[in-house]
Amino acid sequence: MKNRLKYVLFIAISCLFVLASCDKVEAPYMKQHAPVVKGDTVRKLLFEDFTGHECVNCPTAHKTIEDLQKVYGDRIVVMAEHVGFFARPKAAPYNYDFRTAAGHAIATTFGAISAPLPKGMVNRKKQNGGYLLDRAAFGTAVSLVLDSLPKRPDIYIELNPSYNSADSSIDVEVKMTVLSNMPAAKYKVSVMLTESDIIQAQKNNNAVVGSVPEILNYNHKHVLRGAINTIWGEEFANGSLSKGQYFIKTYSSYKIAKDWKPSNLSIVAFVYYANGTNDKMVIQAQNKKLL
Amino acid sequence: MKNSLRAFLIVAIMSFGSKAILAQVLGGGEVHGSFQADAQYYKKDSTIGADAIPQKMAVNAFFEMRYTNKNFEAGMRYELFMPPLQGYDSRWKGNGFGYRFLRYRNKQIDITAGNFYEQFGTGMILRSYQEWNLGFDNSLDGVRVKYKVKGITLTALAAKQRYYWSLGPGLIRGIDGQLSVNDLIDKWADAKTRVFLGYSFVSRFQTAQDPIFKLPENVAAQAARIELYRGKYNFKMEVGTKINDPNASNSMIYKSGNAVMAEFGYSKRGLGFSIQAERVDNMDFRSNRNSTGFDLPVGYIPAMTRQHAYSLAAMYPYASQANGQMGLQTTLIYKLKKKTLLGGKYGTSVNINYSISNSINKSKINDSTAIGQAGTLGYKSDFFKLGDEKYFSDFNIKIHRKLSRKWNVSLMYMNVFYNMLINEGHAVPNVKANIGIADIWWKFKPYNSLHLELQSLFTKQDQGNWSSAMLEYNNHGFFAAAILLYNQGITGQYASAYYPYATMGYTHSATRITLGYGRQREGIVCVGGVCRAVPASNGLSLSINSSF
Repeated sequence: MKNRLKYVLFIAISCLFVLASCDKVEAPYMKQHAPVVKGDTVRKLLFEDFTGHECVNCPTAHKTIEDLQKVYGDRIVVMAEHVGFFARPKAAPYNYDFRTAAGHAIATTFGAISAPLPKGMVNRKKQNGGYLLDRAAFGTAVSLVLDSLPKRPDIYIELNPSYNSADSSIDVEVKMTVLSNMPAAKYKVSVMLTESDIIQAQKNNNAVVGSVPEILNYNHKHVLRGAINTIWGEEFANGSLSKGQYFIKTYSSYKIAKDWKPSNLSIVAFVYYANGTNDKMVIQAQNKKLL
Repeated sequence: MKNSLRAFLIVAIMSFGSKAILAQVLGGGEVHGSFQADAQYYKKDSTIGADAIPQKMAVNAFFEMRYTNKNFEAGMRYELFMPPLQGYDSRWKGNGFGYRFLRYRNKQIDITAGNFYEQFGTGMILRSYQEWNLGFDNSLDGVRVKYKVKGITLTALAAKQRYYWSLGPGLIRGIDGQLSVNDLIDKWADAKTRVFLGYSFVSRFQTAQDPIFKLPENVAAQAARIELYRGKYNFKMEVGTKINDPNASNSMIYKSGNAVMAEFGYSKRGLGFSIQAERVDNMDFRSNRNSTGFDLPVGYIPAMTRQHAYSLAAMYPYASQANGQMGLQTTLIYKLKKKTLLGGKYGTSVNINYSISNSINKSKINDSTAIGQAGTLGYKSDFFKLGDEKYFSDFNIKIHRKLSRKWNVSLMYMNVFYNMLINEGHAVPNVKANIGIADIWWKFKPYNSLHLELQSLFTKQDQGNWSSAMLEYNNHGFFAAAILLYNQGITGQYASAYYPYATMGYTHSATRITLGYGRQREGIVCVGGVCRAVPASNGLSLSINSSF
C-alpha cells in the first residue's frame, strides 16, 4: 500500500511536470518590429562576421544579419572577416582572396581561425564563456546590447573621411565624445575599411538564400579590407573619462588597392576597453561611407 | 611543453598506488578506477598537410575513480587537455575535475547528485554519454532519482549539460518509466513472450530574447517504446515526437519533429538475421537552441550502419542526420558447418550487411514559402515517401575461415556510397568506393602470432585510391606492428603520399602502454554516427591506459 502511494505520488508529480514543460508557439512566428530607431547619437554595436567563400552555411548567416539590420538599421555595424580554411583561394571561381592580415589576426585572437564557420561576434564580448556565436545566437546577443542597454551611447563617434583620387588614398578624422562618465581604463580606437557589393562566387546550401550548391555572382558585403590605424588600433585615453570630454584622431594617406571601388568603401570605427575586466570589449561603433 | 609533460607525469603517477592510500583513509569500502593518457609529439610535414603546434606536444588524459561503501558511492574524473590533441575541439583546453558525483542506492531508491550519464530507451530524446576517442562528453549535472517497484523502474531528473569546462544554458527535466509486463503481471511471469514497455518525456527550458523570432522557452519531447522477445525472435520499436523547436540546426523552423526506429531479429545456432529501419524528421534536440555540431545534444539518433574496424573500410563513415533521414539496415550471419566442402574442417562464417540512408521527402507548405524557410513551419513531409537525395549506402560481406589450428583468414569486400555534402559539409563529388581486405593470422607458437592485414580502396573521387599493409607480431602481452599506407592520389588534385607508421606496445594485467611513430592520414572518426575530423599528423605518440 505504501509503495502504491509513493507510485501514485510520483505519477501525479510527473503529470504536473509534463503539463508545465511545453510552450506551443502559434503563427505568425516572427515578431512585429517597432520602427527602427532614428538618429546617429544612439548605441551601435560592432558585429564581426567570420566567413569564407567556401563556407556553405555562411550565406544563411549573412541573411540573419540582414534580417537583424531590418530591425535595428545602422545600429549594427558589420565587418565581414574572411578567415581560415573556408576563405582560402582555390581554383576558379574561388580564386579571389578576401583574406586580410587584420582579419587573420582578429580571428586568431578570438578563436575563429579554427572554428567551424559561420561564427559571429558582438562587441568582442564573451557570451556563455566564449566570444564566438553560432548563427542562431546572433539575434539574442544583438538584443542584449541594443535593447537591454540604454539607447544613448556612452561614447559618440563621429567620422569625417575624405578620398584623394589622385593617389587613391583615404584621410579620416575620428572624433570621440564622452556622453557618460566612464571607469578608469585604457581606451583604444580602431579604424578599419570595409567594402560592399563585391561580386564573387560563394558556396551555399540554403535554397532560400540563393542557388545551391553555389552562387556564382554573390554580393559580398561589409568585407574587411584592412586596418587604417593598425590591427588593434590606437590608445586615446588611459584613466577615467568624464562626460563632455572629447578626443580627435586623424589618419591620413591610407592607400587603397586598385580593385577596390571607392564608392563601395566604408570606414568602420569602434572604441574599446584595452585592459581590465572588460578587456577587448567594444563600447561603441560607427560606420560611414567613404563617398 | 614543460607544463604538459609535468601534468602528464603527475596524473600517470596518481593512477598507481592510490588505491591502498584511499582505502586506509576512508576506512573500508572499495576503490576502483581507470587512467588513460594519450600524448603526441607533432612534426610539421607539408607533404601530407600536417602541422606542428607551438607546444610541440599535446596530451589528453583522464583519471577516474569510484569509491563504494555499502549503499554509498562517490566518484570523480580528473581530465587534462594540455593542449588537446589535434582534431579535438580547442575548447577542451585546460584541466580540472570534469565529472564528480555522489550516489546512494538500495533496492528501491537510487539517488545521484552531481554528474551522471543517463539514457531513456534508445536515447532518441535523451542520451548523455562520454566517448573519449571523440572528445565528446554531454554528461548531465544535477539530480537524478530512480525508483523501482515490482516490474517498474521510474527515473526523474533535472540537470544542465556539461559544455566543455562549463554548463550549457538550457535546463533539462526528464522522466522515464520502464515496465516489465512479465514481472508486473503474475499470470505472465512464466510466459514464453517477454514484453517490456517504456515511456519518456524530456523538456528543455532556455530563456529567449530573440528580436526576430517568437521562441518557445520550454521545448518538450516524448517517446514510447516496446520490446518483445520470444524464443529465437525479438522485436523492438520506439516512436518519438518533439514540439516546435526552432534552432540553429533546423534553420529556425517551427515544425514538430518525429522519429520511428524499429528492429526485428532472429537468431539460432549458426544463423542470425536482423533488419532495422528508421525514419527521423526534425529531431535534433539540444540543451541550447543555438548550438550545432558536437555541442550539447540531448537526444541521440544513431546511424543505422555498420561501424567498421578496418581503417580503409572506416574511411567514409556515415554521420547520422537527426534532422532528416530514412534508413534501413539488414545483417545476415551464417556459419557453414564444419567438415563440409564449403565449411572446411573448422567451419566458415559468412557475415553480410547492407545499409542505406536517404533524405526524407520534403514539399512546400504553400506557394510563397520556400522549403526550410526560417520563421515558418518549414516543410511538409510524406511519411512513407523517400527523399531525392541518397546520403549513404554500404554493402559488405566478410568471410572468416579457420584453416587449421594455426591459420585464420578473413576476407572482406565492401561497396560504399558517401554523400560528401551531407557527411562532411563540403560540396560534391560524392564518393563511390570499392574496398577489398585480407586479414591473415598465423599462430605459430602458443601466445606467439603474426598478423598480416592487406587493404585496398578504389575510387575515382575524393583523394583517389588507397592501399594499406600491416604486419603485426604478438608475443604474450607484447606487440609490434609496421603499417604502410599509400595514397595513389588523383592527378592535378591530390599528390600521392606514403604514410609509414610503426607501433609497439605491452599489456600487463590491466595496464597497456603503446608507443607509435610515423605519419597518420587526415580522416573522420565516428562512433555511432557521431563524427570528428582528424587532421593529418606526423610524430611520436604514446598511450597509457590502466584500470584497477
